[in-house]
Amino acid sequence: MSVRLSIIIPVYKPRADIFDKCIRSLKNQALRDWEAIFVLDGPCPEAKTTIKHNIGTHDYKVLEIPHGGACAARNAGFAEAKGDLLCFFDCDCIIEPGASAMWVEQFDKHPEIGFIYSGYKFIGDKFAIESEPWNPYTLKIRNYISACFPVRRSLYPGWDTSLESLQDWDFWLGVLGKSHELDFAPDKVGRFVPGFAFATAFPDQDSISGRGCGVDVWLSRLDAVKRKHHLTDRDICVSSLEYRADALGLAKLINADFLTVANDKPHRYKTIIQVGFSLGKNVEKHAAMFEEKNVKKVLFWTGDNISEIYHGVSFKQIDAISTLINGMVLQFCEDVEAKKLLTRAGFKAEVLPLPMGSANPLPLPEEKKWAWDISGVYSPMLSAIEQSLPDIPLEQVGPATDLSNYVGLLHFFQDKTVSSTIRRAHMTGRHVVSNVQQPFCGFVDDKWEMEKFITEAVSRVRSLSHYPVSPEAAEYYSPGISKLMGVLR
Amino acid sequence: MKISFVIPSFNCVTWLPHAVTSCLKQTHKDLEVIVVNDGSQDRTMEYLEWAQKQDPRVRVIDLKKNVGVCAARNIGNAAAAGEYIFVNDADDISTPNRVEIVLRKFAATKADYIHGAATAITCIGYPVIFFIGRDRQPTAEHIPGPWDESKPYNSIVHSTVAYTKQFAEKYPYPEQGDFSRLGLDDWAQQVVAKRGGAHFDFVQQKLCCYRITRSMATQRRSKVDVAKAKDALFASLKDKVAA
Repeated sequence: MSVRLSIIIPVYKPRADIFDKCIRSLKNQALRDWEAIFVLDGPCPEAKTTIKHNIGTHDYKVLEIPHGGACAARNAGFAEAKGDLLCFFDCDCIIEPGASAMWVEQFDKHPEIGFIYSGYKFIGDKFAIESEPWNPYTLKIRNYISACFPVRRSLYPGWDTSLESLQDWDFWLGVLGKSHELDFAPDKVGRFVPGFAFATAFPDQDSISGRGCGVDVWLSRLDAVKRKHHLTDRDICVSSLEYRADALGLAKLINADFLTVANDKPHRYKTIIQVGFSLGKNVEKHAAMFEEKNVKKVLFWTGDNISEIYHGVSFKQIDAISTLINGMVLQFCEDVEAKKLLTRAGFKAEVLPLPMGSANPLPLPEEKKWAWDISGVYSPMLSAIEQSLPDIPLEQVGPATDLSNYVGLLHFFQDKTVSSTIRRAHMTGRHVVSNVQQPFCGFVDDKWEMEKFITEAVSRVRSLSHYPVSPEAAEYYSPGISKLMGVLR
Repeated sequence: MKISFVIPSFNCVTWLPHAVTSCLKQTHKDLEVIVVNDGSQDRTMEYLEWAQKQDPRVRVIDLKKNVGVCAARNIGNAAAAGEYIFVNDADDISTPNRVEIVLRKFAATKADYIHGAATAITCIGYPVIFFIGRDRQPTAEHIPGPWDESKPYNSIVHSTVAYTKQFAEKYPYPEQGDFSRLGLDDWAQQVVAKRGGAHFDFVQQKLCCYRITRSMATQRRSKVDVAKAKDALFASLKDKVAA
């Protein structure tokens, strides 16, 4: 049987209660054509017996090297590996039975993929790391791919033994660099499969990547990797918990970093731009960002946030937050209506729509499909509208959906302000039917009787499908970055 | 046994798909759905062309100009190929086993005309609650009863009605008079048929959900106009008897 996947497991001080489970989980995988290479990082006779007892009849190899760290062990393991796919596993990880078979299937089906990754769990199911969709831009900011995921042999960059930590980040950056040389498409070379591929032991408090690491140490380690891969330090960081696509778009536009939470690790940012801020759960934790010293803070309010202020948060909460951020944070919102609502709630915001790049209106697609982004309050109306339009498919969209595949967007939210989804629709040249009373927004008033509301919405969807969109809409809704840059300077 | 649904539709493209789908989803499959497009100004034809492609049981009669609901129903009835004709208005929804129940009743009795129970719903499909009777019991259900022309209200929900093809030929909807505009099309036909000796019957099961909307004729007509139209019908029938 030829070997497809080589699983290389560096073994250093294995935990007795997990190591045997790790080996058994590998033995019990659905995949059959794989090989195990255990690299003992320093002599460890107990490990040898544990391997022998648990691996069963499967072929395996045990190498023994003088103690030199995980990277040295992985490199030694690679020298012996025969498979065209490599996976550098850990001796405290328990793999899901179907994961490796899925990896091999994906690699076979999609030659453009260079590596596959998912999230992972901690043993005991208390925590999990979900990872995030593949984007070469964000990998150059912070690592989100565990070392234990498979990569094609042709992209193997070698493990850098000179680094103290963040070797996994260095490894994946190396893979990305090699993929450029070999003409893999950068946005397709990585494939994110949502879910959890393995479970691992929770890291010790004093481990290298744990909290035992001070500010300077962390930054110097970060710098070491950045220098090696010629990554520049950026002054601005855009962050967002809920509006990832919009925030990432803005970051690319103004050449800034993007992080889900800007200040979870030590940093040197001079400006933090927050997109969307929820006053709901975990607000105190989240608001800590605004207490950062010597950092310019900018906040873009979204319609959802405003709606939440009016429908789901106590006045005490609003008062506390507005006292905290007024004066310390530059606050912006999408339109006059939003400003009015924020002012009434006690927030000092100015109108400055979130910059989203330049408009790119495309001709309408052949298929008359509509997208919808609608708050739960409007779901009875949506179901009536949907049944009234059996000939026009309606599909729910997320923040990252490409709206150019649709003819238009149905958008109903209680805050009645222009949202980034509406502007994305305009900028790709798509119709909008919404309860927002602004230019080109296809205003349908939810204060009308329900029957008129539905009839109007249905007839708009029907008739707009036949007309091209006015090109002025795209212009109107694509503010440049000049104003924002002026504010930042 | 083949049956025909007849749906007259005038500017009702919002609700028409709900009606057509409910007819096509009947448990009794041997049927046709005849939609008479009564000169609609909206995009009804666009939907109907699509629906015909989806299911060949949909038949479309496209009247180029508006002729009124009575005439539209008569045109649809004349085109019907089925032995029984089921009435379904463009904004009402038949329950999935309506045809099955009614055909069983036709087989068991010698009735020409069968109606049944119904639920009133709003435009989004929630039940409309009425408060009826002396003790003001809340209910959304319409309970069918024997028909009597002297009652001030009509005890038959038109979208629960089914009749034989012969009945439709013998008692067409009266095209003269104001009945189309006032939404008295069904009532006028019932008066003529009942006096002509047709046999009415009803079932207790729920046959349809009828939508109550502000724009429907029965919500907007004036009581004076209704009384006048009713008197005119009685008078004309008396004349006939006298002649």
